[in-house]
Amino acid sequence: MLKQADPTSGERAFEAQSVYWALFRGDAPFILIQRYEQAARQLDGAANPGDISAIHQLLAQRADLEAAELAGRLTGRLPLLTRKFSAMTYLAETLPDHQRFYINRRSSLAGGVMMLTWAGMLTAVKLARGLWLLRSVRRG
Amino acid sequence: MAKFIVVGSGAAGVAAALELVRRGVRPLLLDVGYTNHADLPRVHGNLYDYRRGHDSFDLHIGPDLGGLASALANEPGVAKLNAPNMAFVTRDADRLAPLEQTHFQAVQSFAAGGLGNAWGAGLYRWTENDLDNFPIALSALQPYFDVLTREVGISGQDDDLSRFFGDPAGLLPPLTLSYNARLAHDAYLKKRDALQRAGVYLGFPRVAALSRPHNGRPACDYNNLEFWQAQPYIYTPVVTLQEMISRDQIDYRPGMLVHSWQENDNAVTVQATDIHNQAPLQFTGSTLLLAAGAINTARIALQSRNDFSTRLPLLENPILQIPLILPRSIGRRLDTHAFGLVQLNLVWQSAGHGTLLQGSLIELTAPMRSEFFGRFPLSARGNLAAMRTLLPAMMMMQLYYPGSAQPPAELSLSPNGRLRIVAPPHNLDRGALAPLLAALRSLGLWTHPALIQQPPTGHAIHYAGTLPMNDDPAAYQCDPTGRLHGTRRVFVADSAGFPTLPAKNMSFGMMANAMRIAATAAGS
Repeated sequence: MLKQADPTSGERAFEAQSVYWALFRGDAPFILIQRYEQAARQLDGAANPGDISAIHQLLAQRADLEAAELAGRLTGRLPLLTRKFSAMTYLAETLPDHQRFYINRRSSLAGGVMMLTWAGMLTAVKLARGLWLLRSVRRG
Repeated sequence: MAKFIVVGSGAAGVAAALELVRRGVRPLLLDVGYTNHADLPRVHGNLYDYRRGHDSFDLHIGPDLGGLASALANEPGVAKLNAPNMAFVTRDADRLAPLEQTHFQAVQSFAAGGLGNAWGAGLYRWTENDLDNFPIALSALQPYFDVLTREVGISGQDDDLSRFFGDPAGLLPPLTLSYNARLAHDAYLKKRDALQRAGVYLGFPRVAALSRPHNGRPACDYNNLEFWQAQPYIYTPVVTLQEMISRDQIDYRPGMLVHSWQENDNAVTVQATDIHNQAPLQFTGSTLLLAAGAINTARIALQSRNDFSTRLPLLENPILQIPLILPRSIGRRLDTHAFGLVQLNLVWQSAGHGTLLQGSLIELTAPMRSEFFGRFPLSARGNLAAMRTLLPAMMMMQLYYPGSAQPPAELSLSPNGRLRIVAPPHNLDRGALAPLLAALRSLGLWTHPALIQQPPTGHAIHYAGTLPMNDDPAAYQCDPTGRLHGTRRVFVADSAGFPTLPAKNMSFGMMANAMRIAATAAGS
């Protein structure tokens, strides 16, 4: 059985909302927050305390998590944040109303090229911001 | 007293038992034999239609988050084995057969049907070339390939790969290609002469998935569910196992973990534990056929002699995973009605490697899209965009090298009961791939060397060679009949007996060889 949302897990719920926002730009459904909390507990249980602390700082600053995750992934720092993004991505993919984020149901070469161009430009901006963000995070 | 005892119900054990049954023998088959008892929804129809109408958490991830195991551990896993419906395949493996591994990631199974429950279903006849260094001739295997082709139902086609994949007799028509695979195949047909001059051959796979009904099983429905639940159109050893059980042709004893054997002049006695109550049990027979998988068969051999010093070789196919983009397909709608396993095979007669390499081109429609999160050097939302618009334009080629492409691992038994596997760190030379990548580009399949990944050794799940066949066997080697040196009644029926491992998927060769050894043992 899925564990009930932990009433003392306000921090994790906030983290779930923040990661969800970084990915989908919306409010996370309650069921997704519950499932994410369960996954995050497992991740935090095996994580480097420095990484947990860094993520707490980013959350406290309401920093751009998408930027931090990208910079962390490309520089090999903060793998915990990437795993949390990955977990949220898996969990959201199981929800029927999220299929549009994952599945292309219409063919359009031009649309695809435009989408990838946008993704490239977004990545450039996020990478610059993320590298700056990670410099400000203390991992102790 | 049983006449024949078979240990293990994977592809080799079932094939050996089948041959004994064909010869009128009723073997005792000892097996741990886990089955899928997960109380999970059975999806009918198409995966993507189901996902649009249902919360698919139970299907994809499961209440214990087992489907997220690789993602949470940040370790490359075998996606199919993470599926909740496949959890039984690797259940308790760490507890029943603990391993200490260095530079090796073995996957073990104690399920009924073994790792065959989650296999890629590629069944390729071996040729003379594949039997290099084997002390047997191809003619010794051919009759069993014929029997198995009829039993299993193999889809394929007589094409440019037949020279590598053997006699196409008895094949069912090939499965329908996906859109992307058809593009690549059409391009190959236009450029085949030039490609063959470069040593590159492309064609249909030989796959144990039915293109039309066969032996009471239905044809493939192209619903993309191959990763998520057992499919009746995909043959697994369980099909034959259940048939033999239902016809009372074998004495099947699940729940038995075999540790060792003892042999005397008249019989061989197998020591096992009943996993339900830990009771020690013994089974006595005239002949023992070991088919517990190359790693566990070696474990049983070492435990039988309380040998904590010998180091046995362990072969595995090194692999590279090559993501391929078809620019013409960028932005296409996802092909939601595709066969989710191998679509095409490629054989490369590589002058640089001096050997044959075999590639499997796989559609990416069956796994979760999230499997690819972070694989693109883009931001999180950029990754989502790529998953939506680029994945439908991608295939993955799994390129298999022969076992000889890297030094064998070493396997030994520790006094604490753990099996120690130590592999030397080894990186395949990607620079030598340049001619292959050029050939792939001419097929409209683009990649970049930086995108190519080498999974940890062990990920091909083709383990072999721990007790190799030899014309003049020494300790822990078999003679050409599969009889283990120093024994009279113990035969090695699985891939432990392979002296080498070709780049070709070993499953069919292993099954035919298991039948050959069972026939020899029955004859003796």
